[in-house]
Amino acid sequence: MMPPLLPRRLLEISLALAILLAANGGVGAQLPVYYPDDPIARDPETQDASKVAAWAISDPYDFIENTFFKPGDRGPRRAMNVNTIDEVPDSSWFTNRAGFRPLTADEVHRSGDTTDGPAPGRWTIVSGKTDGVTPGFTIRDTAGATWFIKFDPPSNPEMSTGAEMVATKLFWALGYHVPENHLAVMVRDNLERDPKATIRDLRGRHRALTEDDVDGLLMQAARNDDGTYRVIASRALPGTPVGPFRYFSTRPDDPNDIYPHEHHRELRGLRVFAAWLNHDDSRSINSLDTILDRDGRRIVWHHLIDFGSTLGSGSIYAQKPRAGNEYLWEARPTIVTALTLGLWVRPWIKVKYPDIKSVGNFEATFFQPEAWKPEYPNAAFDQVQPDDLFWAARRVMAIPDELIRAAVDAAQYSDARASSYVQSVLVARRDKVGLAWLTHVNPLADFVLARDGTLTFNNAAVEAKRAAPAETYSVQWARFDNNTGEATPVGTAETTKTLSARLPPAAAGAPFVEARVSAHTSAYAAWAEPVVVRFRKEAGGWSLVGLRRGPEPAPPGVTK
Amino acid sequence: MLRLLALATLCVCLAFRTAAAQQTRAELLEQQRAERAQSLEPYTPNTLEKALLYLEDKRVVERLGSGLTGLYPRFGGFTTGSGITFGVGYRYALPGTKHWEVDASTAFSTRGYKSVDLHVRAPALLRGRLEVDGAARWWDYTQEDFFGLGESSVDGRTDYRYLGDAVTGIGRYRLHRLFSVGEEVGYLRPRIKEGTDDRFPSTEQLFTDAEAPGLTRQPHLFYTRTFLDFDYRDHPGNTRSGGRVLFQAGTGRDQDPSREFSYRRADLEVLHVFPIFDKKRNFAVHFAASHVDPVNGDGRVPFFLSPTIGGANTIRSYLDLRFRDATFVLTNFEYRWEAFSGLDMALFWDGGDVGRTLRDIRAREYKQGWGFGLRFNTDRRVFLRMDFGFGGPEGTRFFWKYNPAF
Repeated sequence: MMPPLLPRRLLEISLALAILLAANGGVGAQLPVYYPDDPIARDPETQDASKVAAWAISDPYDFIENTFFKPGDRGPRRAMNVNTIDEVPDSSWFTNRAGFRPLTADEVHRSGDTTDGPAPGRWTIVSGKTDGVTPGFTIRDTAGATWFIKFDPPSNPEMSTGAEMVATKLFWALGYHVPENHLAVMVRDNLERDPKATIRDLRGRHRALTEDDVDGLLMQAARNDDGTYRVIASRALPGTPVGPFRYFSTRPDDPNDIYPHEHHRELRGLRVFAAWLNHDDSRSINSLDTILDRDGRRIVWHHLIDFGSTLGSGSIYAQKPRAGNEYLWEARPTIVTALTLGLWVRPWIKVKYPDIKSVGNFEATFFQPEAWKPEYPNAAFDQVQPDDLFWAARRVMAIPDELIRAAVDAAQYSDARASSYVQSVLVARRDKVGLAWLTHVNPLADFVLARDGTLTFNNAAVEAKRAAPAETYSVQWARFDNNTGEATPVGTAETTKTLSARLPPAAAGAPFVEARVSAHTSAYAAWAEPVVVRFRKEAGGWSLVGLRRGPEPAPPGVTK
Repeated sequence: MLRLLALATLCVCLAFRTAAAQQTRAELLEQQRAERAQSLEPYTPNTLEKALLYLEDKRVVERLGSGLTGLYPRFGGFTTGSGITFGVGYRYALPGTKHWEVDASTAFSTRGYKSVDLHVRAPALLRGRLEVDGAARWWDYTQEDFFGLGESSVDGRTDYRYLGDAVTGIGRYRLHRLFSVGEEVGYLRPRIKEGTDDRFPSTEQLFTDAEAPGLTRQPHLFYTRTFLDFDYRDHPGNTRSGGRVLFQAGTGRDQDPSREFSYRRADLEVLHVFPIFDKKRNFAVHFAASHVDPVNGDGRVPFFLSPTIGGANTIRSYLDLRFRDATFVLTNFEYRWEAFSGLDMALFWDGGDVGRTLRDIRAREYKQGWGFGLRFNTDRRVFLRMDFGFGGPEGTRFFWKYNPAF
């Protein structure tokens, strides 16, 4: 299966590596490490992608390929789409929000929605949905907008729709492109069939949708006491759908897709967000690319969709306890369980969940972020590096309790216990995420070198109340040559007990300076690995142009 | 490989050259994308992916799970020992109706078994309360085993050819979500002929009609069956909790004026499955008993219609159809544990016996066996069961089935 892919993969990696080298200051002496526009805030999709063809991804094949063949580039490698200060520029994949700028509860509640849901009036069913996990309809509202309608399972009213709403809001806040999802009340008598409405029958053929089909689909939905249905109305994404994206390799017909997806930081970091929100269904089929116009150009825009299997919901049933704890197929626990006649019991089987139907199986006590797993391996998740985890954990910690509350409020749980419980679990899981991944690398961040030569920084782990302050910090200054990439130390390392240091006068005249800043504490040995920051002297003072967290293996043949 | 490396090197060199030519990061990235735009190609799925996409598009798995419409393959359906079965069927909705469907199928096995089935059924009338199934069937089972009635020896293994045709009608009415009643009526025309298995003598060579009633003359029977079904299994196709109590009573009326082979029959089956650890482990207890009696004092019950135990669904350390008599009692214990979400393992103990009457059956004379098995499954269905039975005098038995044991 894999060999035919290899030549293309090698070329892709080579190309991406070349870009990475040029972008991160590792190139030869004749090239600048930093360009005048570094760090870039936006990764520009400059090529016309109108010829990208729609494709389908086979879910079973995706499972087989990811479970048994380990696709994608598997070497330990820094994320390739980060800018020179180790951040993800805005792109067709991601828009910086939480942790980048202050968000209000109202913003999170709206999550970029452009409407308040389907326009008032009758809904015209244009097709029925019988494939996939959840049944539903596609409708057209009186304003002509297309919406996908999804229900709760009869066994768990409000569960799937509630989880979808909460996850939509939070994934939006975290920076992903998500559909416009609204809670709505559907009335059977308010539905009418378009004369051309179709449904796929069991043979995969499209045929005319009948009233019986509508009733049949509604039989699978939770019904309110008054006969109405609580539904998710998901507005059709703007643009022309061209199918899901893969979590590895690139889309071979998209000229703007230059970084293998497993080396996208926001896709690697999704592992952290998915763990927080128990998005075990974070696989290709729950993504969608569309071609749309941006700045007068047709480009592919990448979305996460379908959050019905998040929090305690498994879409059509309460989430299975295995979800998040074990892949669908894992050899070791399978063999151990088989050989011990089942006397060895997987620890997650014993987890107790609250008896709240609208919540399902969601909890924070047993949850271990590092051990969390999606339904099957995800190439981007597998490639995640400590700096990716740190980046993502900071984003999670940047969502305070009030924003979580705003997201949970959007679920409109009728049971107050559900709101309160989901919120408390999200807070507890968020804090566990912070503890797990803010502390395992040097957590110093927010570096600023003032005009007067004062360097200040923060300890993100301490700021998030996930760790005690370091006992001391050490700073080694250097002059940095932007043409050769060489750093010449100035003096010896300065030790300080505060989150600041002074630029030595001997370095103050250099056009670029470098500081290697370590934190020293007996609690976390990893903090001693310095964060390398570089500043460029500009008319208004010093500007941060480079940041690298953690060691980076030197690419072969490249001068560091 | 050398060409590939050269290309990759060229790519890196190109990037270096490009970088040198650009003045900003944005220009550099634009140049990289422009170069990529020169080498785009459509995605080509490999053979496996194409095949899986086809199966998804045609919804083959869903159709298998919910009952295929249109043309479908048929697997199994004959008794154990019939060899590998191949078959084909066609199912379609009856024109002009909402709930009725017609299902015609035929199957063949490598040992010459054959059958043709025609069903006209409505599985969900009266808002799902009433299920009706009318069927006509013809079959030819070329080598069915017979060891004799009662305490029989494996040395007496013979085979016979069992042919026949029948028409039946079954109605099941669901009085409650868990409780239903039903009635079956049918007309059966069996025929017994010489067995085709070269390894064993044909039944008539070792047994007389007195020892195997019905060997010489096979009755045409009008039969009825009434059943009460209390079914509280979570998933009938893969029960992990709940259970079932099924009681059936019926008669067969020999159409010959002598009524020699008219009979009465009663069957009881009780199953309860105890879930442990969120159903990841469960313990099943299964009990079944059956008794058949001739209606007339001097009447007889055809041997091929007598209750039988042994085999894949009863005592797995014995051959199928190993013991026959007017009465049987069967007990099964099965402990199952989930190895992973698609596979359950099982340890089982089976025991049972046959006799003329219930009084003839002694627990200490139980034919016993134990074993282990694998159940490949989904949440709702066991689609492949492999059981290894030990402990019987006939050596290790292996069963490959497409349904749960009980």
